[in-house]
Amino acid sequence: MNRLTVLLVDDHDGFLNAAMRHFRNVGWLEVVGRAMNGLEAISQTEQLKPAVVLMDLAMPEMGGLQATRLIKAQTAPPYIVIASHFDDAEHREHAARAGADAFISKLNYVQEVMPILARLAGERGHV
Amino acid sequence: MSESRVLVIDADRGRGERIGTILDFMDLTPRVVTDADELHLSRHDPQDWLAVVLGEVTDVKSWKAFLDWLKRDPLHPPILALPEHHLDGPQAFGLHDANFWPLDYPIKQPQLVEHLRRASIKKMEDIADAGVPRGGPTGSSASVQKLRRMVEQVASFDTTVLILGESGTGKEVCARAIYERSARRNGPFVAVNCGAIPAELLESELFGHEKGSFTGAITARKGRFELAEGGTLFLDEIGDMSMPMQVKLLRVLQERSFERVGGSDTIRCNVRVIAATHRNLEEAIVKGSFREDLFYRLNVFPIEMPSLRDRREDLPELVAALTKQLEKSGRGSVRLSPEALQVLQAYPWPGNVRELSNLIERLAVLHPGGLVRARDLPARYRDGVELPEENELDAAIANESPSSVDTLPAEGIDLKDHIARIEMSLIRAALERADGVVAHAAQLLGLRRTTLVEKLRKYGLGRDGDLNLTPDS
Repeated sequence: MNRLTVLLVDDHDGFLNAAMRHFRNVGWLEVVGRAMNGLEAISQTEQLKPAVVLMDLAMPEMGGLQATRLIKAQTAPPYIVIASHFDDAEHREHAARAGADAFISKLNYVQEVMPILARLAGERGHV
Repeated sequence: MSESRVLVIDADRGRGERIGTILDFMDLTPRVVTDADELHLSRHDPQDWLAVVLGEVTDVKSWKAFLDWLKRDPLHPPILALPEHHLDGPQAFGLHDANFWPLDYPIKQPQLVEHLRRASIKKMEDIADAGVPRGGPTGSSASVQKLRRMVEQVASFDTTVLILGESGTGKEVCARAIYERSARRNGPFVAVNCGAIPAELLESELFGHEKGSFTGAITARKGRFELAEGGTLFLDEIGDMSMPMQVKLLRVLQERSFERVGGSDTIRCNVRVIAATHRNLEEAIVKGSFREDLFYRLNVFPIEMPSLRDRREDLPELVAALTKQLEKSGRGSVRLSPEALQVLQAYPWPGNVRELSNLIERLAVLHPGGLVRARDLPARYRDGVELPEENELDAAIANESPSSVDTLPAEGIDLKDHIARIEMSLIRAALERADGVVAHAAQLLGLRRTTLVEKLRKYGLGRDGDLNLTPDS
């Protein structure tokens, strides 16, 4: 496994902490930063250059869809996974349209995100 | 945008708390208040909430103030009205039907979940709609003129249209332009991205399903074909559709009828189909991933979208249109210097107009209201391009400098105003030279950073967007 750098974006401290607790036990994964809205996510992505951004769909100031579009406009953008409370065709379509590479349900976060991260860590070019 | 925050306003405190608990259990984030005056509206934006659950109102004045504040935002969240408001209806609140959704009490969880899911979709669609340019493709190049002629030519006939072209070339804009000019323009325009929906969900998404037809189908639901009845269905990324789904789509195109998943009744449909893909379908047919019979059924009137690199001359017009669209939808504003435009015209635009649109929006966020120079563009747009001289900026700064006065003019002088103008001019020049870094500009002026910040506040510099300030770190 290659080392995979991740930026966590969510406006809920509790959610960020729970995700951090889980990711800490994964040796090949390094959480390089946390952002609490889309605007912070854009500047952190530019500064920290993570391989992956785990982006909440719903945040104050700037939501995950707009942030995804704007992050994808930067040079060598990261892989972006959108996490949404609602998982249906419409939410998936909007995420894809914003340029997200993957979509997961927040209700099943760890189970859905880990296979994606493991696959990326196994591939070259995402580290 | 907030997907998970829900505001509950109910003077019946017990009921409000019970609804809050239900929302908590649904992993949502409720804020429960008994009166709207408990909210500090100046600290909120209506879109902070996904929906507003409205119960008993005792403080009418604060409720009216809240409602006025909410309605000022055209994209405000819907009101989920508890039973005491069901008879009054949306008219009592001056709301459009689309923003007033009756909610039963005691709460029925499936109804509440469905309302919130729809509220989230509505918000995403409202935002996306605000971002889609109307009126068809922008530009005056020969290829865009040809495109417009094709749109005009095909719009009034009810034929199937196949729009081809690279990703981001504006296939949906073209489809909407056809729809807006067609006899179906008063019917619905329904878009579906076949590539974004998992294959196992696509059938029920297109054709709908009956209650109990699969796990999770707790209610019967219309599909996009039914939602588009009398109007136009835009099937984007048709090349990503699975072979079994292609068979089902072919049947609808041939017979103009279908069945819902799990249903036995045949539903007739009156829908114009516009399909689009970035894939080469003829190659896909050779590879065996696209049906030839479906291709011929779709390819009645093909339209090829030009790539942006093939119509670079349209770039200034596109930038102007995109900037206007951003301003109109309240997503910011930005200006590009002629040199920045020149640099962008040399870029190959693999992501086409969508890439340009995202870049403009990003610049509007990073340089709100400001002037973007060639060197402010992200590195990939500048790669391999010799940056043009941007003398006009220095000239602009110089032009703003008041003439040096060391003698008192005959008519006298407003000394305070004159000194302020000199001060502002030098601060602007220092900030320009320091690339907007306040600490560096302060050094150039022999000031402490906090003093400069104070002066910036005093003169309103940086706030009106004419200077790009960078936080010192």
